[in-house]
Amino acid sequence: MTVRINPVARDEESAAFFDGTAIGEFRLLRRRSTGEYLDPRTVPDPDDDLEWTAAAGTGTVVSWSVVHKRARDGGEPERVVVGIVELAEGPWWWCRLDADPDADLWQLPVRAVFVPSGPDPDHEKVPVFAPAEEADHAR
Amino acid sequence: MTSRRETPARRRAAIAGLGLTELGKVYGPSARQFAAQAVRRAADDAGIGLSDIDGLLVSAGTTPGVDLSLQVDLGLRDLRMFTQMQAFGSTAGAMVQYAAMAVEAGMADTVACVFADAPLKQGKATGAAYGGRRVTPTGWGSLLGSSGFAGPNSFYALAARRHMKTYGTTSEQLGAIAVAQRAWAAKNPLAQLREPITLADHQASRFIAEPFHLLDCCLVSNGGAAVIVTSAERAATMAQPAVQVLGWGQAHPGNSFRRNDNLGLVSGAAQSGPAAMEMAGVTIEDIDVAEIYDCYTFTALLTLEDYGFCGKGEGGEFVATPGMLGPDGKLAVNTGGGQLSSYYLWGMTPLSEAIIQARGQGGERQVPKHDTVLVSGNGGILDHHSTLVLGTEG
Repeated sequence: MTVRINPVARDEESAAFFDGTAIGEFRLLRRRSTGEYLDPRTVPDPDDDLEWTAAAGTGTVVSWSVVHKRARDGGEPERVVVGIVELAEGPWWWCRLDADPDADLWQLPVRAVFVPSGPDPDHEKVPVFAPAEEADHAR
Repeated sequence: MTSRRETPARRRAAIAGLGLTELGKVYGPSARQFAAQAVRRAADDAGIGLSDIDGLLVSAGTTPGVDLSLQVDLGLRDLRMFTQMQAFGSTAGAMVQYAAMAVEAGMADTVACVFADAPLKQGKATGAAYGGRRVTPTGWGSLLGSSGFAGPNSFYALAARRHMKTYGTTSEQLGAIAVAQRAWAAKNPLAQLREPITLADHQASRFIAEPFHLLDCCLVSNGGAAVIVTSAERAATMAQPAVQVLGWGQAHPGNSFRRNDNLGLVSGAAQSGPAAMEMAGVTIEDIDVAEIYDCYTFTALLTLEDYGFCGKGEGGEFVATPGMLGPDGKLAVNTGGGQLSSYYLWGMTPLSEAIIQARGQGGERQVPKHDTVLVSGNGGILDHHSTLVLGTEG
């Protein structure tokens, strides 16, 4: 894995999500009554019947951008691929893509891989989406 | 619906004053000081005293201090209306709308609307101007930054890419907007960047967030701008040609970015533009000058589409049509150079140029026909839109 994610720590609202990433699960909220999948950042209504559930961790690229981060020493800029993934369950997820910055990623099938965001015990694993073929091959 | 053109002029609001501070890499004054200076200049421009102001709407950019303390800074007594507003880049247009409603309702007679910001610090790179706003690296708020997203540049780049892939819009077509606006800026003494550029310059400029090159992105500026809104009747007695507020609209689509939505495809301009034109009793063919919010080239392209200057998805071809944009072009768009080349004061950039053009005070860049001027504001990641139709016809 070549992708580097800067350290992220959990807070109360994101704890259940990061419990999932720690064991290789992309968790979404699901409304029990309708089966609808909701973004994990959804602010729960006390009257709502939401539960955490493991999603497939697959999706397709809705859009992508290659961010150029200028090197401090004046060298070649780092090219970071970010994008929006439409998850198989419907919600969109904005994330790092571990993909060729020169490739056409339009509607590319992708799969989540979980990358440690830092060396400390409180640095959570963060989902990064890679081309599904490559991610499957690496398994 | 009866358009405002058919209602008596005495019930209408008009813009009677415009105040601009020094703009761009101007170091020293705080945003709060820019705000006070802009209001003073707007009052001077209108030919009134500060004590004539009985309503005040204030809006800050990214730097603090532009708030309700402005009343005391200006020594204003007994205001009848006073509010701090925030709808990001759509705020300036929205302020004029609320000011117009207050004037027409008799709540206030003379309302100053002001925006100021001072994100640039001397000796600090322009690109780092907004760097102080990083969230702490915990929870949801930390995920995007930690994953490599770089603020509005990457969000708008994702929106633009979706339009490009859906409709075939190209980087060269976006570049046509940058080139045209720079040609206008060359004629604008207020503009920060006045050296002409070519499409090749646009293509060769470094990438910020692909598909955006540097020349697709707006400037960062320090400064302030204020306008004075009063009744059309009173405005007619003041120092400047009155600019009537003929119509307006807002749209806040409520894009969640959490599930399939119109990000990059359709913006709130699609609602606020037609609403404003209907209120004004005009159609797109009546628009002489369009001052379009252009935090990026793409924002201008999408707004032109959504306002109906061309069909949905045809914006790229439209803006790149030879003879369409730029000085002497068929369509007068962003005649001061916009936020890409002139100055970046959120919605005050298109609004201020609209007032200058409507009054016929554009000097070398003045558009011959300027009776009906369309102004857009856009805020957030295409989240908030405001539209004004301004006019100088009786």
